[in-house]
Amino acid sequence: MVFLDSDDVLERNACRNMLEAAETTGADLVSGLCVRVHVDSRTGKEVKWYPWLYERTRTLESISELPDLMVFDTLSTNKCYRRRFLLDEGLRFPVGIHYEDLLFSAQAYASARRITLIPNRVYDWRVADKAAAKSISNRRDEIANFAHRMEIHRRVDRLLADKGLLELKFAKDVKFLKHDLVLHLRELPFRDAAYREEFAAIARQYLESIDRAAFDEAEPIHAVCAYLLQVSDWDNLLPAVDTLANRDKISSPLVERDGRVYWCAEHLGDPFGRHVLDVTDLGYHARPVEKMFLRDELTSYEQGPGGTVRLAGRVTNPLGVVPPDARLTAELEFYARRRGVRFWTFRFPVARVWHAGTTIAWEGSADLTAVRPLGVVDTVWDVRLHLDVDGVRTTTRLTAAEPGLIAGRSPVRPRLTRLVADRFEPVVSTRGHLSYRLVPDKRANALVQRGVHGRPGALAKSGYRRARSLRKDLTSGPAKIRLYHEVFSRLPVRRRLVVFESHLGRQYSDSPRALYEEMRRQGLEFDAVWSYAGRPDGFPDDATLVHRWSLPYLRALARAEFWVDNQSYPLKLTKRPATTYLQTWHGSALKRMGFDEPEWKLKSRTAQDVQQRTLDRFDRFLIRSEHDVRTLARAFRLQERTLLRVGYPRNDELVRARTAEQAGGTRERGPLAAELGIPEDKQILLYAPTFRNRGSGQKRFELPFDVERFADTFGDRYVLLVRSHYLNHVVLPPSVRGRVIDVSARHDMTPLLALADGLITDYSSVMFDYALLDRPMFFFVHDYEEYVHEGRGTYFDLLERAPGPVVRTEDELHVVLGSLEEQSVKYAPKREQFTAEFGEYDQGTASRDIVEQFFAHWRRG
Amino acid sequence: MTDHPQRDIFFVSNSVDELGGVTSWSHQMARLFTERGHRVHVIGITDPDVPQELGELPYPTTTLYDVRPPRVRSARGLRGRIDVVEHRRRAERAAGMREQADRLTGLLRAARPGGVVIVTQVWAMEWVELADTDGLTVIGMSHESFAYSRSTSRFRRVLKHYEDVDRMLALTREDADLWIRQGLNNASFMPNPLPFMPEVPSPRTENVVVSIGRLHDQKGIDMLLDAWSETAPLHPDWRLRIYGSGRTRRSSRSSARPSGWTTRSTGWAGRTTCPARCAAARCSCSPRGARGSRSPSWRRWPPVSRVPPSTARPASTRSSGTARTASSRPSATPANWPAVWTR
Repeated sequence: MVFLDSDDVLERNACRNMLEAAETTGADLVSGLCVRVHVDSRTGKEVKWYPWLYERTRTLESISELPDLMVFDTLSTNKCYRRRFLLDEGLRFPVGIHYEDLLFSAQAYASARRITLIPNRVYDWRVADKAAAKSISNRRDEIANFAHRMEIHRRVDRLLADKGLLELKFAKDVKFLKHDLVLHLRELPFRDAAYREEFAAIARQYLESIDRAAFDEAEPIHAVCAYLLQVSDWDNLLPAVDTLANRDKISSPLVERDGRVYWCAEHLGDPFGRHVLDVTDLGYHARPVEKMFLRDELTSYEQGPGGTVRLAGRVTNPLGVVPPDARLTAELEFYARRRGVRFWTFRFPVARVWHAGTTIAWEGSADLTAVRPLGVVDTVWDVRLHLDVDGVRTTTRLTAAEPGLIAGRSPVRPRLTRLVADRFEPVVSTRGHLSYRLVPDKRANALVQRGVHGRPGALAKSGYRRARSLRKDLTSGPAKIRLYHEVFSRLPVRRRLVVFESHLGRQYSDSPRALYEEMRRQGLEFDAVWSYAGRPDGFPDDATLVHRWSLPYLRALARAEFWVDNQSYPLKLTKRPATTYLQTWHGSALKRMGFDEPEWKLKSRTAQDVQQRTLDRFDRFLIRSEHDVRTLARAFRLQERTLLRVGYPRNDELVRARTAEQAGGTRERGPLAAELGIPEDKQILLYAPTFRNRGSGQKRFELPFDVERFADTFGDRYVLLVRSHYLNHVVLPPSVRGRVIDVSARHDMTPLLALADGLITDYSSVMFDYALLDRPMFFFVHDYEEYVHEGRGTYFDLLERAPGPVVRTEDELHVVLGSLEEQSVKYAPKREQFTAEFGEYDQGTASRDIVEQFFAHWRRG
Repeated sequence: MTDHPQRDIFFVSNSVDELGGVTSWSHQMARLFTERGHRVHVIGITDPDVPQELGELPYPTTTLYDVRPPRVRSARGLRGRIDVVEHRRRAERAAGMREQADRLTGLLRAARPGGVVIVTQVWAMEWVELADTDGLTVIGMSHESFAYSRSTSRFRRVLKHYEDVDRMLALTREDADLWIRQGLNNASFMPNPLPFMPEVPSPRTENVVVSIGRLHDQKGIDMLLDAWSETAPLHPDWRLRIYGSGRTRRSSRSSARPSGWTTRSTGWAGRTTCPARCAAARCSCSPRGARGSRSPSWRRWPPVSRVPPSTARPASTRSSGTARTASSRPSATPANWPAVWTR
């Protein structure tokens, strides 16, 4: 038995696929993928309904094997039911209540003896976004609907309790906090006080039945909102709802207490409140103002005479990130929402910006007649406010937090004349922000619509699209690559032109930097070009800076006499024979690399050949030890003649530091210690773990130990520097300020190594470099088995060769960190052996040797 | 013997007698259907590069093209559009395809109601698509893993040409699921039958690992050699034997061969020698994952064989639903080869 709503569509193979699954597995219930098809969407938008439940065919003996299925896929329509099963269990749709299918499907899930899920798309749920009368489930604004929803929730909860499915109830609680409640909360700013009160009364009652442990499973902002709703704190709840709608927005002033950051100053006396409102881990406190998306609440909106509107608002100032004495200016900006037709933006300086208690207040006016839209394709306009704090810009959007705040109409003069539209009308966007809609004159509109959808419109649109796609083609990657090969590579090679790049342009660092600085020191005559990927800050002033993949970058690469790089220049760029590629590489290998990795081996022959061609571009490859020859050189299938056994230029500084220390008997701290504010009497430890890829674009790196405990135990003796991989980032709580310092943003690793009195790492290649300093090293490998055996494997056994204690747990780490001196003495022979084995060519002369060999003839005179 | 209606069944492949698993499968199935009284016709698009000896066949075969259809490039960019020679070649090929598709239509017309067209390879589907298949059930097949298809041009072609067939069959549930997620909602699966059953099971006494198969990049022989070069020194009393024909090349710069490596040319005597080769081994290995053709199904094999071991070669049968392997371990896979030996 299959249900089909009258306006939905079953996929062509749906019945056959569900029946086949039911017949092979004997399931009572087969469920397939549902897709929400937005029928009014201009781009044919389709959204899969919880696709992660339907990634593969699987059969469950009971719903408790996959609670998420019942919790998320509550539809009754994308399923095929055994008729006998429905009859035997007496399953019926309840009458007289909305959302009856939620209860029906919950009952079916709970009673089915076997459930089979198939990845096939079976059901198209057609969604009408613009329909005048929205379908029942969209009309959330009616409180009765909400009451029905809660009643269904209660009945499902009762069903779960009766069946003894407690873990399902927990999963459902979490989902309620993360999804159901959010849907309703996001409506609140658009509702009046009466609705809010009624809503809160119903919701509070249901929240009582929710397991408090579920708050920990939800995201912090969800838990915060649910808690504030529970305690009826409207003043804090409404701003928090803004963050629900705009995930990255900081909508509360936040407070710091005892080294932790809390959402608000209230409710901290309640232990549960204190727990839920602790948002330290979100890392707001570590962000500079320009990286913050601050709430900007519109406090007044007045339609003046003509087209002028007077606006006033207040911007949240979390943790006082905008200092009281900061120079403040602001401007309002109007721009078309549709990116493709954003031809003009209009700016109006804001008359007054001042500190008003815990917020930044502003007021100003904008003459909307000066805002000139085209008139037909750019009918929605957004507004934002740029706030300049001592010259640093942060951008906010204007939140209309109360219904009825914005009203009025302004005349407008579209470029396609007032025939197409004659008024601007303020509207609140779904995210709660002020925006404007062009309103056409009714009679003229028919004419305009005919134009837009008729022949002239079609011609204009297709012409514009063609022009845009041509522009896109010309600026696309393939076009650039063609330009590189067919134009730039035909220009003569420029003598003494050297292009430098480090870590794909992300940093000014590593061996390319060391070599570049040596070349400058020796006063060589050459043209230096440095490539940067993001912003040019921190790159040298005395070189030409080019953005990676820009035309100047490609031209420089095509014409350069030397390429110097530590990772790879764009793979698709062919190196000219007249260009010499010095590949400095960025570290000796512990983990298998290149063609020693299973992933590379699994590539097709063609893909391997392509890969090999990019590696064959290396004319010279720097080698630190014979270990590199056995590992990297072999894994990249490099020819013997390309190997340059000189060591890494970046390590020259380390070898020099060690020599100086041994000669003078003391360790000199450079200016970096003072810059970081490290007192003389503290020893410095550097924690530099390797890159962890946690998938799905998550960049946050969770420290594998309790950093507060570390600071409390060792804060009086050590300062811990934390350097996460440049692709990860780390958040430290305010409580460890001054005792633990995040140095991840620093371009270059070498000065940090030279500064540190001891190194804590795991599998990072930094171990090979730091060993040159002959200082104590600690290997904290909490996930050794997983990392070494389940990953791509290692070239040698770290446990056997590590030149320092290898520990698996935090407690062990604390024990070995007790005395640096003791460890230093104990592991001295092992360190010596390690350095001899992995750094034999690092003699502190790499830069000089390379300059001697390749660039000596560029010396002046 | 059977209560099923007698049907007309057409197998359409790239070639009637190309060396490889698809051909063996088609003809094995064709024989089985013929034995059950169905009328079978095996159709190839063109002649193969490397043919396979098929012997006497109890059913007709047809090859559409006498001469290979010309290869064409797609018309990309301005240069592609104005290339006159290429333009003509494309037109010729299209005309030739229509002509051969008409011929195919003629063959299919001979079918009684209820006929089935089984297209074993997606390239052949391009002709079947042009032919008139009204009233026939069309089944498209992919005889390799999804992951391997993904890395080749066949990926797009499978999605395009199998989109409207009645059923698309992959080899395993897992592969079918992956195709479904790419939008082929008509996908399902059917494992291949065991190609032969030896009379005497392998005694599993000789310390020999055997690999039997076409020598082709996709079979991952180079990885087998790499893995063996690392494990062989730990097990000097074991031998690796690789049987197969075909063309493969080994990058001169890839890892060095282990010492004591000898190459002996024993010649490939086709499938007939398989049982004997297997009988003389204790363990067999086969490609898996991205390179393997049949492999994901092997993951589902029971770690310990439930039936008396017959050959050293693991395989699965649809009829019995059980698996056989001489080794009491799951088949060795590239990722865990060393582990299999040292454990």
